[in-house]
Amino acid sequence: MLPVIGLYLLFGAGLLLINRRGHGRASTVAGGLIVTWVTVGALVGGAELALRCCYAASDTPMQWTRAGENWIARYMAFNSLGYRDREWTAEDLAGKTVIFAVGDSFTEGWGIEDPALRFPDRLQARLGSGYAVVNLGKGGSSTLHQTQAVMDYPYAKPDIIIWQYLLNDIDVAAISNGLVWESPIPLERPALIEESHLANFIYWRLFRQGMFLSPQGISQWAWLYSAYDDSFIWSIHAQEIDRMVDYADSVARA
Amino acid sequence: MEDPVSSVPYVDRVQQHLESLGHPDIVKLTDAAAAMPIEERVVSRADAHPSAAFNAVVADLLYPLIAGES
Repeated sequence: MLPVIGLYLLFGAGLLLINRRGHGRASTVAGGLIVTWVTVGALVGGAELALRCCYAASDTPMQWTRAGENWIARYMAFNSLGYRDREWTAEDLAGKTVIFAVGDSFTEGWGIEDPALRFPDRLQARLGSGYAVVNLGKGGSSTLHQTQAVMDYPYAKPDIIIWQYLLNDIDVAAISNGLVWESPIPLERPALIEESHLANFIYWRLFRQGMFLSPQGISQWAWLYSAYDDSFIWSIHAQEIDRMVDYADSVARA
Repeated sequence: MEDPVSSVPYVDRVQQHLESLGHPDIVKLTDAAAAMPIEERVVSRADAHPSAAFNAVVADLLYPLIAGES
């Protein structure tokens, strides 16, 4: 972004020079352009500053938009296990009905500023102090990661597991078996789009319209449905589901 | 969250699989999602994650199951 600012300042200095030292029409035109230069600079600079300092939005794809980064910094607080949840201890959970809410960004509450408005927190509020609703939601996770999350939880075993399932849970089975959806999002983007909040805002507003359509014209959902229609991929994913159920059954028997 | 209806056959397949494993306690959200206008059920036009209002619906659906089980 610095080269762009430098060029703009250089252009303004040139206009000033012509205005001061030039004669006749050139000086007059340069004077008019200086007014435009100052106005454009103030507007663009003001917009950049406002977006940088004041604008936070849970845009998609949140991890790549500067507004999304601002949103995460402002609203997403994680506990020591990496979950957007309170800091539980084994003592907190002892003697309570322990409920694991496990899932992806839905359970984690992406886009929801106040965590108390997420469904696990609402359940906690309604169920009362005899229950502990532990949020193991993680954006971008799939069945394999979610099963591992409930198995690895260190402070208690669950009495109840709420498993929030989304159809994109089949993605690991699909990708690992060669059914890959090609994202239209370019991995390399101009530095200006990454550094300037204004350029980033404009870029993603324009680009977002087509980001769920591959270059071959296949939507992300059509790709997921094709994974379920592939009997081999479905059988692999069914085994992933079985592993989660096996764990739940083993805890229930214990 | 944007088009819950077209996913129904695939959700049904997962449901049938879970039921075959002895877990019929499934809350399908497709009907609840379809019943709520899209501008209410998603966070914003730029973010299709479930809104706080939809989370409230989910909690309402889950509560009787959990309170009844324990």
